[in-house]
Amino acid sequence: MQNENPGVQNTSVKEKSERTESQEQEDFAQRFLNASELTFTRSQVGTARLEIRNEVCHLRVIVRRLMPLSHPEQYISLAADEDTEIGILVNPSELAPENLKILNEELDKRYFTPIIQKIYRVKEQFGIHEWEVQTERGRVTFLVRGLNQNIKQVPPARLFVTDVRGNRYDIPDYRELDAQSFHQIQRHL
Amino acid sequence: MKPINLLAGAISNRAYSITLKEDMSTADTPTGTLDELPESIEATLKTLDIQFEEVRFAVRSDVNSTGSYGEEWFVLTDAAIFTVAGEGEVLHYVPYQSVLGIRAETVVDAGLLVLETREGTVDLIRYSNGCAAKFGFVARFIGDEIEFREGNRDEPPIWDYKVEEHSCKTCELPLADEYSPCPACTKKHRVMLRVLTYIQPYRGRVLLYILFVIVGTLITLITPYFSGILIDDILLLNDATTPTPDDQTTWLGNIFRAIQPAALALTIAVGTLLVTQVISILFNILQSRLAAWLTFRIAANIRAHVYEHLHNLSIRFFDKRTTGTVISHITEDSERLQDFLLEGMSFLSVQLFMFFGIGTVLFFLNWQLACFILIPIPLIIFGAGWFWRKVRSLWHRAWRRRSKLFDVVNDSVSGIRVVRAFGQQRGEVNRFGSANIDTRDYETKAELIWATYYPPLMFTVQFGTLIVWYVGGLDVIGGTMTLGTLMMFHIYLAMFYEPLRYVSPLINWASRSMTAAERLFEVIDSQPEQFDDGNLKAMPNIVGEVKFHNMTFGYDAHKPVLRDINLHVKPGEMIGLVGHSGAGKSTLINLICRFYTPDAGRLEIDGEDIKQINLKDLRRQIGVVLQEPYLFSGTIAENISYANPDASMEQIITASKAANAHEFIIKFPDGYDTEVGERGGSLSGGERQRISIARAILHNPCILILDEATSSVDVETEKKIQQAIDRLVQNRTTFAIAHRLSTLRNADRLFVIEKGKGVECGSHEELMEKKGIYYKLVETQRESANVRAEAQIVER
Repeated sequence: MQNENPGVQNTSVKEKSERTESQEQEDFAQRFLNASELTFTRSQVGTARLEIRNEVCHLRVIVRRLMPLSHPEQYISLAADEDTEIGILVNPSELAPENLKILNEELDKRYFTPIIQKIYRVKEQFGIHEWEVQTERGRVTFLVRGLNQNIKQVPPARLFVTDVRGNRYDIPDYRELDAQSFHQIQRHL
Repeated sequence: MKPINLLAGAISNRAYSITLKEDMSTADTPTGTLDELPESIEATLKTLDIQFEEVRFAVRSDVNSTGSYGEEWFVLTDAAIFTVAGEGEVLHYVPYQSVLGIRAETVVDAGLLVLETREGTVDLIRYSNGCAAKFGFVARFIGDEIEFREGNRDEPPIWDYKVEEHSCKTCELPLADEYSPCPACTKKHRVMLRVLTYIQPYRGRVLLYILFVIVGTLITLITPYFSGILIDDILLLNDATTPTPDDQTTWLGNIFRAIQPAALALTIAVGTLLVTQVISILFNILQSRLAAWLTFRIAANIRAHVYEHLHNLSIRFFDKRTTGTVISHITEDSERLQDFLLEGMSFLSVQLFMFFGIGTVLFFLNWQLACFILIPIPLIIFGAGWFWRKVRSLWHRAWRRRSKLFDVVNDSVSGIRVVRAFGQQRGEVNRFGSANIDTRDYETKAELIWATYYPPLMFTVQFGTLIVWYVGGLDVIGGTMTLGTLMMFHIYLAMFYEPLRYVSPLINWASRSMTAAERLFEVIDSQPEQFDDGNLKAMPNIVGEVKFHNMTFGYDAHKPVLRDINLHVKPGEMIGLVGHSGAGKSTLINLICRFYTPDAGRLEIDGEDIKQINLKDLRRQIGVVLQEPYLFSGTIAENISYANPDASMEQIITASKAANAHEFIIKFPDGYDTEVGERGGSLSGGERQRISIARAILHNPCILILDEATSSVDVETEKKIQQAIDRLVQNRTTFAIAHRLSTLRNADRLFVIEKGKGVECGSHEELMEKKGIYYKLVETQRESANVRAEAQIVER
């Protein structure tokens, strides 16, 4: 990421040059956050604000999944900006429901990958496959060039399909698709 | 969601929008190039009780704010930024004046346009990757405009939106890149025809080949006919144990009946069979030889054509493809096409001709019976089709398992030291074990399917034979057909059904070859670099003045790697490029070599836009010394004279002397004739580097590029290389990248790049005084150098 971040107003980020040695040492110790100390709120402009009790308030918290494939609901890294991690929340389910809701909204914003629930058809023409599918984000039609390179299998049966525009779609377990959908992709695997 | 209203300072806002408009008069008014805002939305915006000016541009997103597929609009008017839901509900309203910054954030598999305002950060609009290019451009454009407004930029940005997604102009099918031809518009039959154009030069031999096929087939057809005569007119006629059959026979049969004694007739008939078979074999040999001769020539021509074309393609073509893909274009695809031409075409042409030839003969012999043999044909074709599909997909899966198995082996053998060091032998064996069993199971499954279904498939072929036995047998009993004719029918029948069994795999084979051909033609049809289309300016004598003017570039246009670079380099000046890795130093060099062209702004050499300079002239006068010098297989002398194959031995020696290479070359037993082998394996890094410097010296460029030329060698060698470089850079415009800043001590000026922007420029002393980024870099290196020095003392 080479984005400049001019307007970050953050109370926790200190100028690097001003850091003392003990602070730099501290950076190497991973911080695991205690769910009971965290409060997520929506700011007036719609960003997610994180307050750590008796400590700081971050105006725009950035959430990342550390294990998006194997443990999407756990191990959430919270960051103050692109480069400054606040800490890791191991079990978001321990958060109060209203906090969890905001966290999940932020996760949804950062992890778009639509999950394919149903495959209506896969049609091949000139080496380009047209997929028409139902995802949890709605029905969509997309084109895939070269199925071999653009379907990635994660054992045992998870599939990631990348379309010509760089969008990625997730099939968590192709064996659990309904018969028609299964038939549609099985022909091409 | 309520519109987020950031109306703070709305009054001064108005004043700003007017000044902006005046300033904007130089920039193109960006209308119509992005998305067309629906009138209903524009009308909604106008009805709002907020000031509304002219829409400058609108961008459509395909994702709504709840994250579902839908429609949402980003609208920039003269005074404000809006986002509007597809149904017309305004979600955000931000006065343009309160915007401090804007950026397109990349999230996982999508994007997010983020606004920095005086009121805080706003997540403005979400979009899928399909819209990333549009929004990336918008963010860059607006960002530049704000910088211009704030006085951090001299000129307003230029509206130069390029459609990044490449689709066919006629059918809108998306293409791999701008250079690719459309697969839909280059139709399959056209591909076939184009393959045939490669046959054109050999049309005489192709005609001969067709002749051989026809004659060979006709001769093959004679054999069963004689067999029939042999039975009816010689054996049965002269069989003492059976009564003489009635005399339905042909004119040829009559001739044989006339020959007495019967043994002589038999001799003649068998002799004829022998001769026809010998002739048939002879034609077979001729035909196969000719096919081999033709196909290898055709395939070699296609290969040569593809390879030559490859060297004229833009570097971008290679960026988008892995080395493996490009190699497989040359080797595998052309091999597949060649296989098909060799085996497929000859097999197909012979079998097709046989099929129709025999079909005709069968109908001619006995049309009623011939009708019966058609019955199993659909069964054979469909049965075989089903069977091959099944078997193929199973084999394919088994093959995938097998290649996975090899991967496991490859993985653990390559990493054998790690495996041993961590004591993971058991784990590796288990990993192999499970992959092995997986492979076993799939291969067994495939083989079982084959074992179960192949015999029934064969039966479908046999079925036709049974019909002929029965129906033809009835005719023989009824006396309407002779035994010989029935036998003849049977032999023809086997020949007739034979090709049908392979129809399905053949179709599959043919279509795969056509795909291979398509891929080859994709390379051939890709637009080559513009070397010289007559309009480019010839510049045989470049002086070496290089000027960057507000230049912006990204490998994907919506992710700029370099932004607004401004630098004026005088002829003969040496510029050291400094910055963290990934800052964009190498990209800058790629642009000077014109491997890529700037997305915005200008890059001039001797005052001429680089896009307008004859590429051959330009490249001839640019010399490059890379971090990992690439030596081709060949001798040292050949490598030094790579760019100037006509150089005399004296010139080569002079160049290598200047490069401090002569001293080690003379120590080799084979001197300048030493083979360096693949990647110069037999030479050390420093030696290879000095050879590549000698190559650059001999090339005598006026613009020289040194990309980390001394980073991979020890201090002693570095000194030698540095000496050589010092000699090399004299009187040349030089761009040098080095992580070890001490190597840049001779540079006239240092240009510091940080996150794609030129942040500092000046001499070493000036920059040290400035105490900016360069100063920090030097300090950091000095510290680590001290540590290193201390460590050396301790070691001693």
